[in-house]
Amino acid sequence: MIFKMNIFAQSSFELTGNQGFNNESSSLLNSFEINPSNFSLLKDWGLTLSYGSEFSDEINSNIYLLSLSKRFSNHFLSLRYTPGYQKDFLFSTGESIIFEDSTIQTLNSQFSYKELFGSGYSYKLSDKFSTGFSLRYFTEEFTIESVRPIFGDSVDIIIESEAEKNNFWKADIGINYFPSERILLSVSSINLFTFGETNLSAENEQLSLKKDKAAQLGISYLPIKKLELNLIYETTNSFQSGFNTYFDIGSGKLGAGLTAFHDKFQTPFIAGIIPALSYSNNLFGVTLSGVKYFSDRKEIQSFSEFSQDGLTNILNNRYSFDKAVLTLTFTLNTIKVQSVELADVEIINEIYPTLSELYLDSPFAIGKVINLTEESVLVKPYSRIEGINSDNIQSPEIIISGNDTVEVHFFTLIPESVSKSKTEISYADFYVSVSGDEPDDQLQKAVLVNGNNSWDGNVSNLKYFIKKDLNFSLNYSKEILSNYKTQLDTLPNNLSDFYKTKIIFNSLIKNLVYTSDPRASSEYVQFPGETVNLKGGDCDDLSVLFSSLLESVGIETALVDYKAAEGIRHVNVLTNTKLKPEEANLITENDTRYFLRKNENGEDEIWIPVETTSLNNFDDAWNTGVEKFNDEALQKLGLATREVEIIDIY
Amino acid sequence: MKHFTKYLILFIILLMINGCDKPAPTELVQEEDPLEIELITKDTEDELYSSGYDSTGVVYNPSRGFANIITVSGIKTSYRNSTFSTSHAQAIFFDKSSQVLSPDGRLIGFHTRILGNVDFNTKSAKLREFRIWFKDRITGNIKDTLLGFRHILHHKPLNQDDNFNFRYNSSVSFDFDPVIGNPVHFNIPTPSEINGLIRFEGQGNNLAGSISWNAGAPGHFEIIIGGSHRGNHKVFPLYRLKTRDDGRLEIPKGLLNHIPLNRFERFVFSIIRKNEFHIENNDNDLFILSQSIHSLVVDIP
Repeated sequence: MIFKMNIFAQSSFELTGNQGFNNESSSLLNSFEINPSNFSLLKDWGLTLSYGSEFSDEINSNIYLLSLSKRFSNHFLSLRYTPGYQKDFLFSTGESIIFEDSTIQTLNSQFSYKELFGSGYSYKLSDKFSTGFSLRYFTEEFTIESVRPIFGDSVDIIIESEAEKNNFWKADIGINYFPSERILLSVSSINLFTFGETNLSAENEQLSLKKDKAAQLGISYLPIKKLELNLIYETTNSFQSGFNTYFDIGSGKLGAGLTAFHDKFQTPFIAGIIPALSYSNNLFGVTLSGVKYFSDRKEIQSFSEFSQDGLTNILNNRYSFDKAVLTLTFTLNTIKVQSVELADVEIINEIYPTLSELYLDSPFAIGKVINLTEESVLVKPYSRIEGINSDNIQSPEIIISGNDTVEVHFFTLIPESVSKSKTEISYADFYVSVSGDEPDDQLQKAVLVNGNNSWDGNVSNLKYFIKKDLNFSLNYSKEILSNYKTQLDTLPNNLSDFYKTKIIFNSLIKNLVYTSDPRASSEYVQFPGETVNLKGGDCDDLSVLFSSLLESVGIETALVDYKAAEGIRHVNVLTNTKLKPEEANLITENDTRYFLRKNENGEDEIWIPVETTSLNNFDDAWNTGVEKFNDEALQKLGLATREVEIIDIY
Repeated sequence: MKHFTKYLILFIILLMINGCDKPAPTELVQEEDPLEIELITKDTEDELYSSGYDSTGVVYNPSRGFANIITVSGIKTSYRNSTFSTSHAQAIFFDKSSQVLSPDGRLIGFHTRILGNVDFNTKSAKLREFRIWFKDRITGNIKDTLLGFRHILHHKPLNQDDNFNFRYNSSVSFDFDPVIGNPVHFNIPTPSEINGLIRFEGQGNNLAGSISWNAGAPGHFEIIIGGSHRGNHKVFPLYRLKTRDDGRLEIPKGLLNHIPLNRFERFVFSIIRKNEFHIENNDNDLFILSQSIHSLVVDIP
């Protein structure tokens, strides 16, 4: 960012900084003359103050400019007060009066030119185009002393002062075009409209500020990122050319620039230069700049030349003196500056409300996040699914290096209270935030929310169905077992689990039949209570029911997932009898009817497979389960090849 | 942030208090036509100011205080389409010790002395009365008084043909044969002839005028603007404008626009190119004036 005192050849003179046009700039671009389209890279509010000194015979200091700017979305508004934009001339007419006492008084005239106020408006039509206009208010005053004789009783001569004022407005328009990120083209009018003028006398009309219409064409080019080259040409045959460059320093930037200008009314060919040095950060900028003219700026000039050529520009003309200017710009961004961008989000998992715990460990969406800054940032992703989450659900934070793009995982939490009877499309809002409460970016995506009974087909996720309805299962199991209290009380402890399993299974199957899922439906799993109420289900439903009932009374179970089998999937249940291998004969003499698994202490325990779709009796179910298990899991090495998988519930 | 804003506002106010110098103005000068304006006639009813001016083009100013005055003048007067020429030469020897005062105590001149014979271009100058008119400020009446005699040769058409011709851009020989002392002889160089023209634009309060003439070498040059009194037609020289002999002058508007038209019927613009010589000699100083005059008499538009 460079603050540079910009003199635009002849027609305009700009003391505030030209920040350049690249996205590094966050400060004010307040230059009506170079850019009436004036689309500023200012994010919100901006305040600029220019204070300078002029080096004539003595040093005169003044506030040149005070401006306030505001950006509203794609609109930009700027107001400025320019008390220092003035030029005065003192004209010794050459006439003097010799009074009676021989004193001599010279008649003087004074011409004063001021630009007092200005306002600018611009609008960003697109990323490539912006346009705007400016209005500036000028005032001129011509005070001419003349001799006047008074014919009374005696004749006297007095000096009379006659003043004539002229106030007027100038309006200009302009357009900026960004054909690429590195080039800016601009065109604007000079003195396109002038109105509000007073009719001046012929002599003063000749001295009035020249308002010839012209156009200004500009080009700015960034050959490399931190170097900007500028050229502006006016159709009045004046031009200026220069460069800006900057370096990162701490949290800010140090900049330097130099501009040379040619003005057709000034000599030599390059009439002067404007060196500038600046420092800026996100909050403020300061620039020290100056104007150095290459010709001797005599303080006494020819009136006839002035009368002939007139004055076109108040601040930059052949009568201007060298200057030094300090410009301060303060930016107040009430609008959050975007640090990261959420480029895209991919939904990788549908939402199955019953599989609530799944989404705590597995993301349901992955986002692509781009760091727009050059520094590393800590990104906080969060999301909210409509109809599922009442609050935003925070996902793990991630650090992204400057200008880097990473994948961010979005997790969610499905409350127990969520109940969906059918599958529907919902919307998920994804947010990424770096600081503060406002997100830097957000995106909304459609997400499929399945019904409570929907299942993703993954047998390991059947455990969520098993665990979800444990209250029902407990009550149901207890009710069954209560009818066999006497029998259970007489059993040895080590056989308790086995016989409970048998009792529960035999009681359960009395009212159950095997039924498949409805045609053309996605996977559908019934909760235990539903299977009991519906009096039937498929292998998933029956396995869930049986496992749930056993688990509710403390009997450990596992699901056996038979995967391949010509594409027909099957699941049944393994139950833990808690019997040691040497106790196997308490339940069977056939050692192929059980399967040993180690418990958490490393001790072998006897597990028996039960085919839950075999609804005759427990023994048949056990036999069928054993047959299938021995065949596919053991003999066909299904466990080894992972075509058969044992999934513990807990 | 609050502190920052507070200090920022304070800083801006301090800047505004200290930073309100007016920029130094650029001085513009007019390379041409420096102009000095001097009021000649204080009272247009007092003919002291007009004494002799209309015929000699010489403004008599007793307060200048020279003891001895020699003037030679070539005078042209133009009115409407007619121009007539006059040659005038005079020598006046004042007695500075003998003041002539008006009844109200105003110095209106000195008595003259006859010190010898004077010749201009070998022609003997005639001794003629030197009388001036003035306004008695007590009674308000115009009075005349005889200051004495002066040596004069005045050639003008139709009247008092003294056979003296003023030659422009040449010289007039002056010979003085005093009663006591040695004769004095010198040549008085004469300036070139002036031919002037006056142009007006507008009228009344918007009257603007410009005078043009054949420019001469740098030297003493002035234009006297006078008015011809209604009634007695006396010409009062009102303003003396000293400027460069560059051939053109825009008359400051204010000088023309405020001349009361009820008092004056005509303007008289006397363009005067002259050579002046001063010889200081205590109370016996000498002022020699050689002038070329073109008086333009115009009816007030």
